[in-house]
Amino acid sequence: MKPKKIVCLCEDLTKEDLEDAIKNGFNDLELLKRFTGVCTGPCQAKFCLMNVIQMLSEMNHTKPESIGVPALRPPFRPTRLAVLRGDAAEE
Amino acid sequence: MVTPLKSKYRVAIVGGGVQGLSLAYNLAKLGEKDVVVFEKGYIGSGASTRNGGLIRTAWFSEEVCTLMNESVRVWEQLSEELSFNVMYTQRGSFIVAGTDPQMEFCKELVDLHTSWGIRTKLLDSREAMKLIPCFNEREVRGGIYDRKGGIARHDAVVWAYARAASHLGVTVFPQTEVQAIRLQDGQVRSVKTSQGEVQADIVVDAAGGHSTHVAQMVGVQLPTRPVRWEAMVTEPIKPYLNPYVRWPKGELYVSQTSRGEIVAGVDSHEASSMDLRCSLAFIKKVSAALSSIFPSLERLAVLRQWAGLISISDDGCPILGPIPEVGGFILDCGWYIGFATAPIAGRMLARSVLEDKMPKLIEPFRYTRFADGEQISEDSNSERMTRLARLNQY
Repeated sequence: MKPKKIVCLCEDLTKEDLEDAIKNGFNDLELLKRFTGVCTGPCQAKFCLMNVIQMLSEMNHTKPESIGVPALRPPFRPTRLAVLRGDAAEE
Repeated sequence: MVTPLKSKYRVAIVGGGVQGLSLAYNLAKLGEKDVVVFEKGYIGSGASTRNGGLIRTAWFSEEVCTLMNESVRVWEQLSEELSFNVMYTQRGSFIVAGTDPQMEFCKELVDLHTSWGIRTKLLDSREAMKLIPCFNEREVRGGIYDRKGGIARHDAVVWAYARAASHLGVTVFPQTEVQAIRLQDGQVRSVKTSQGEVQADIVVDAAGGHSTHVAQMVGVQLPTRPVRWEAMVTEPIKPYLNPYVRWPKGELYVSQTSRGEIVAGVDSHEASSMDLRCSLAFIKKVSAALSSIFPSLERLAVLRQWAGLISISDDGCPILGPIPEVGGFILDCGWYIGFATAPIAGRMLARSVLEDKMPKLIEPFRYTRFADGEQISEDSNSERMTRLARLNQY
């Protein structure tokens, strides 16, 4: 058995998973994100994004800078409800 | 694979969200395949993929409940019909009553539902706690259980409709903005887009938060306004919450997705707004509400928050069908329940476009109700919603 190449640790996605999705037409970063869940886990794209951009650029034959980045949304890092509601300190 | 823009289509739909795509699919299914859909961003990029994916039948007026109920029937078969798993799960939905006056109101509502043929059930606190053991018991006197409620994955629904419509011959143009709609003798004639101009016999306004703006292109001021609505999602956890929960006291709605995240939002009280920025006020309010009704979640981390636009009409109900002022211009807007009802609305509107007659199910939502003074708000939808909210004070 070939070893798995994990691209997204949060959502447990392999390189093959992402390649399949791109081949099936989810070849735009926003679509790929929604179809596979890549960039939407607890890391919020901080670990996986560069590899995903690389893959999209190779498979779409476009420059990496034309791929763009997904909309980055608050909070900057996962934050507990108790902190956000305003009565607990961040750990 | 790029399909070139034709010079003429029978039907041009403005807005490639769940409503526009459902309509396109249903038109093609009924035999009208000369349909084009223009979407400003990627398909589903507006409210269709920013909503909470919630579906329920327990609403506040007979017209909306009946529409929702018929929609659920289509949802139950939708994955099969479209050959695409839309991840619809019928987990039920629950509206929490926290006080005696709220319980009385819920009882009234369940009686009304029963008289309208909607099967909801009043639960007491013990039954509610059994249904949802993670509730903060002090906040729960009982509530309304709607076993037909559920959730679906919003992205999958959008793709499923887009794919099925394309297979039937519909052309969808993403990244194509409609800039103007030209009229001739009071009739729509052509649509000017960022990719060129096309003629069309019928133009449909299914532009969600932008539908008020699109109607202005044909000189019509709709009784609707766009409103920003915010939502957030937490890190995924084990199965924790099965039904979708509506907690009026905290103005909260919340569900757990199939992959384990908790998705929640609170009611928006903003005036008209097109602002899509996230707010600190929202995340504070939703975090407080969520951790009050589910205390065991207070250490759960929020991953992200976002905003989307809904379109609210003067009586809180959608506006569907033709308008007398402009021939060939069809409305599919005023939606804030647009996700849950898209399967039935698309089917009914497609019939109304082809048969030139509004089906009975959507007839109450006709545009002319505002001029005729037959708005649905008369002691129904908005009034009951407001009443339920006001009962929090007791």
